[in-house]
Amino acid sequence: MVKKPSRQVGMVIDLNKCIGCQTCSMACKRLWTGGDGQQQLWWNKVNTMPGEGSPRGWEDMGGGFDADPSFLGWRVGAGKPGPSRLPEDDEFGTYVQLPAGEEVARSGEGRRTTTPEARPRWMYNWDEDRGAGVHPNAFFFYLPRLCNHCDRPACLEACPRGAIYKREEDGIVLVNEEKCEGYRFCMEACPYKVIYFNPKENVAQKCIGCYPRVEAGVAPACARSCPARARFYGYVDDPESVVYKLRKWGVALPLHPKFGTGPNVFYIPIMSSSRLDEEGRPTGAPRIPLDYLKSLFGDAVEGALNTLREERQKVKNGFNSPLMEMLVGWRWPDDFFAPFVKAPDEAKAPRQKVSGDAAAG
Amino acid sequence: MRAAKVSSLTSSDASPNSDLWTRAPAYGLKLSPVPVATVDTSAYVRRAFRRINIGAVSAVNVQAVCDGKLLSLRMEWEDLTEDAHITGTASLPDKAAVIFPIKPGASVMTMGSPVAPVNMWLWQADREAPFDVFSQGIGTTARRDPLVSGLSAKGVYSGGGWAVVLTRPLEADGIAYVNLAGKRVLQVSFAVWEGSNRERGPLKAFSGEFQDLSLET
Repeated sequence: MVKKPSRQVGMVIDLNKCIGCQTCSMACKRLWTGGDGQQQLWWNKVNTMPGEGSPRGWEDMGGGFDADPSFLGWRVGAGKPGPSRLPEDDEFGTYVQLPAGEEVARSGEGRRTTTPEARPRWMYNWDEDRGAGVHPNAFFFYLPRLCNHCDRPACLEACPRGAIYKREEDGIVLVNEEKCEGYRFCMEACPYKVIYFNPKENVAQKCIGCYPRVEAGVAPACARSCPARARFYGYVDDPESVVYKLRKWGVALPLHPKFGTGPNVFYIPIMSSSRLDEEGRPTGAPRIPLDYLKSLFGDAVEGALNTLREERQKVKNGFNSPLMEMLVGWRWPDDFFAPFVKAPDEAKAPRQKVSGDAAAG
Repeated sequence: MRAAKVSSLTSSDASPNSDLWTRAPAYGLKLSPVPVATVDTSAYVRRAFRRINIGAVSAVNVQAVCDGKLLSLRMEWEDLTEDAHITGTASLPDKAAVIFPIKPGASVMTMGSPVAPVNMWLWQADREAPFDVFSQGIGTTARRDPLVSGLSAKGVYSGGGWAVVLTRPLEADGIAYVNLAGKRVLQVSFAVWEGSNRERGPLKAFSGEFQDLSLET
């Protein structure tokens, strides 16, 4: 089992703020995965919930461990790996040559809006407008997903070649492409299915936690580019860090803790307005069923939602809530990413594959 | 097994369809799946594949010829699915290999050990050039440049199966590449990965521990 790193970076994503604009996805894509063989790679993407996400049906594909390391500490051998399978390309989605919209702009000429050989049938947010529930109680919300840089990475343990490692200095999980031979056991073992295959290079590739930026004191591109300011970033073990504080409040929860990998990406659970009765009157019951949220974030989501409601009520009543202040965040970037508050152009230029860093925020 | 003596091997002889192979004795070897649940690989691989039938290819026909300088080995097996390209996430290529002990006492099951490494001549359906692989145990395989040892390979798919020829000079450094020069009897083992059955890495069929291959003089 992997050794606990001396530091661990983490991220908190406030689902109440995410507007599903995919700016994070584009920031990541432009910065890291614009190369040939990387068309299918969306290290960061925003799925819609309830939904099948990407790869399609990933939540039921297996992988991970049968015990949660956050309850068991770093005990060697705690939790056995669960079987899974390789996701298929069409479960990730059809690659569409962008910008597809260019043809739309020239409408009237009878052109296709997508390339003929790539008629999309699935994409990371294909089911965006589906949601669940029936009018007037229909609901959906966005779920940004990326590598969780887990405490106990299932990918790392699954690799027979030891090609995946967790960095001692910040806990970022990386693939050593020199050692990787494209077996893809990591893709199967990762229960979040956030490892991708580059068929051109025959290697597994995944979110690198924007480590060149992080090393230079710049927050990851997905977090820094977020127009909704839904993302917080910092050391999970630094009492001064907003990530630490939100965890301490009990409102930042890992996705599917039952997968047993100990994620370091956490979510502020989505709050919902009241269900309406047949007359259109609020019933007081949440529109998004608690059981559904428990299926995503575990039983702890109930307490987290209670805390969020109580603190929000405090503010409504004219009192101060340090938690709400934190979630609103008044000073950007300090309140969001400290100590990773440098702008990319203030730091030494990170390794770039495609375009200028300015585009990625 | 016996390798036929031939006058002088040329690159065209190294083709699987060369007439040369009509003159070499053929041996039908049974292949068995690597017992994944017991080998030294990752816990995920051991658990996830313990109840899955791996080692889809159950037999291989083997022939060998040697001209005193070059050794050429031909493997032929049935495979109804030609996996010759890595087309995407769930696509894995067909592969075949000949394995030699670099030092006595090496085990094929463990793919060698630090004190007794093995050398594997690895052909992959998706590649022109083979890999010359040095291994000190499962998960440690290092792909070396085949140009250093002079290893070449050619695979042909037809009639529902593969025929693959791997050719290399007998002489090599004996450290990372097995040195076969001056030997009357070689030790060999064979392995096949069926891409359509998601076989890769430790998931393969092999002919068991090393068998003798005598070189005609």
